[in-house]
Amino acid sequence: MLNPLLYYIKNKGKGLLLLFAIVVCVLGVVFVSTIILSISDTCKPLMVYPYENFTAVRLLNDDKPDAESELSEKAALSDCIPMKVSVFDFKLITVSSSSMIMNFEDKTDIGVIMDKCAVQLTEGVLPEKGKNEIIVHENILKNKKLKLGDELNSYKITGAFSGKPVFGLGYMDSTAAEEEFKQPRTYIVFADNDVRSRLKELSADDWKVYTIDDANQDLDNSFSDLNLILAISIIMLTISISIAIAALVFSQYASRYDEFAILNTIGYKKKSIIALIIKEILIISIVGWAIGYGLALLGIWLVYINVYRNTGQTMNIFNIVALKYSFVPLICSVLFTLIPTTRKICKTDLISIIERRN
Amino acid sequence: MELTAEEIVLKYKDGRNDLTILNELNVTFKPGAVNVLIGPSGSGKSSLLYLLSGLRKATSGVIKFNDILISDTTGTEKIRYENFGFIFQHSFLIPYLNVTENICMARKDMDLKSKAEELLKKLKIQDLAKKKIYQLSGGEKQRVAIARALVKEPSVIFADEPTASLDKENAKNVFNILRKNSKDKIVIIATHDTSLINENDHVFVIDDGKIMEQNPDNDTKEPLQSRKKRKK
Repeated sequence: MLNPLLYYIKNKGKGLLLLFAIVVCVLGVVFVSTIILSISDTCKPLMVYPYENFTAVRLLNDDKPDAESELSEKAALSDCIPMKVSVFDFKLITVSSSSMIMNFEDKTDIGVIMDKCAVQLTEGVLPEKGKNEIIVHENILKNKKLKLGDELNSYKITGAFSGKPVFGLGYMDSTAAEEEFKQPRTYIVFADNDVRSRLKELSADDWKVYTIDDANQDLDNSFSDLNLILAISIIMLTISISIAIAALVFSQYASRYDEFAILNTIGYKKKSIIALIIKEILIISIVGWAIGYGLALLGIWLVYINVYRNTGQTMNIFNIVALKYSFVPLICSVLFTLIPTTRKICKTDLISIIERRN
Repeated sequence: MELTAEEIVLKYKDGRNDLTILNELNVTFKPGAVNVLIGPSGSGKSSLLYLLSGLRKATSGVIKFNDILISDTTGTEKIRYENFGFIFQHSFLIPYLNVTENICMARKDMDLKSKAEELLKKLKIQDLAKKKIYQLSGGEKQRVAIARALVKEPSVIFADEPTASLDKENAKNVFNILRKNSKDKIVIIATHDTSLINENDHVFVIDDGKIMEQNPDNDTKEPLQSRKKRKK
């Protein structure tokens, strides 16, 4: 019966002020949380996605002549590809992570590795066997501001590829490769779940087995503190702003008691007046949330195309966690405004307002 | 159509003591003429008005409107919404709505726009239809409040000191408007300004918790309870 849009349509200034506060709160929460969560988004292709396709196995004990036979008990040797790993840093907005270059012996076909890792050459050529040549993910080129022909970790970049995992792969100089792979210490094993479980049975004293689960665990451990700080910061920020919004709303409604009193007097039930207040607050909060979220997505998209994309970093513009965080200011502002406002009106004898003014 | 109050008692707690405002009051109001409640300050004129309209609950007694019990304030909003109009000393107009929108707030389940325009013409304030409330004078605001009370064609109009903040000219106008509407409606006005009363009005004097109808021929007072007993 009573129109919940009427008050804020007729009092645009008050409505806009309230809307502005909610929009800023939601925008801030979504923007900051997406930027922070993008660190993890960027680290996943570096630290986790390579291990979706293979398991890394490293011999810890140099003095183990039967290493290969022990490995062959767990996985077919044809699936165990010796490699040499080197790392390099990958710069993010606020921190640095690292990525790896995997170098193989000449008998390994890089094309097969690429197929198994689901990556595709997009630029340049494959590295030549017997030479210190590599291909890298195109994001590495952007991040390190390199181009084909430049060097990374002393390896010449001959091509770039696209795909989920971000790393480099290639060959080594023949002499160095001969020395390195005389007694291989590190392998990548293209294994299914069964083989992965068997590999985990290798003695931990002699072998380090690194699977996708280990990679996910390491990523979670790296970010658990940051995620906790993010969650606490969002809650504290939201509560502070919601209290300010609640005070603003409370004072706006306090100035409308004459209106509520006359409505009750001429026959509108108190319940419908309270329902009106609830609808007004819900509508403006939801509209504020929608505008704030939309603006945040726009801002995030602008940051992505102007900064992240050019530096090979990853960002989920539409981040589910950030979306969930966006509901915190919405819920807080609704609760912090509704509870005191409706409580006050429930306790107020509206007719006494008429009596007092008369 | 009638509005009756039977054996109405109204008491308040004043510290430890009970203060009796209305004491076994009996009265019946009918359309045909304006019913004016007069009495000294604190005599209970406004209190009686609030009881009759269902805004307040009596300590004991029965109030009926056309045999509908309204002395229990629970659930009287519907009766007030459909049947009663209110005018107070303060106009209580909603500041962010214009004149027409304020009038139409009387009943949101009906389209009252054309009736509102009609009333504004009758009240000679049709030029104010789109004006905001802060742009109106005191007299104009009161006329808008009257329009809001009349627009839903109520059966009863309650007016509590409707002219207290108006000048003489505007006060007379308000009384005349209410008189015009009293032919087919019950109009009850509580006021302390006896200069506005004329010989056609039904005057009720409230004093010492009791109500007495003032004889229209002269200024003698006749208690309503004793007149009922005489008729029997």
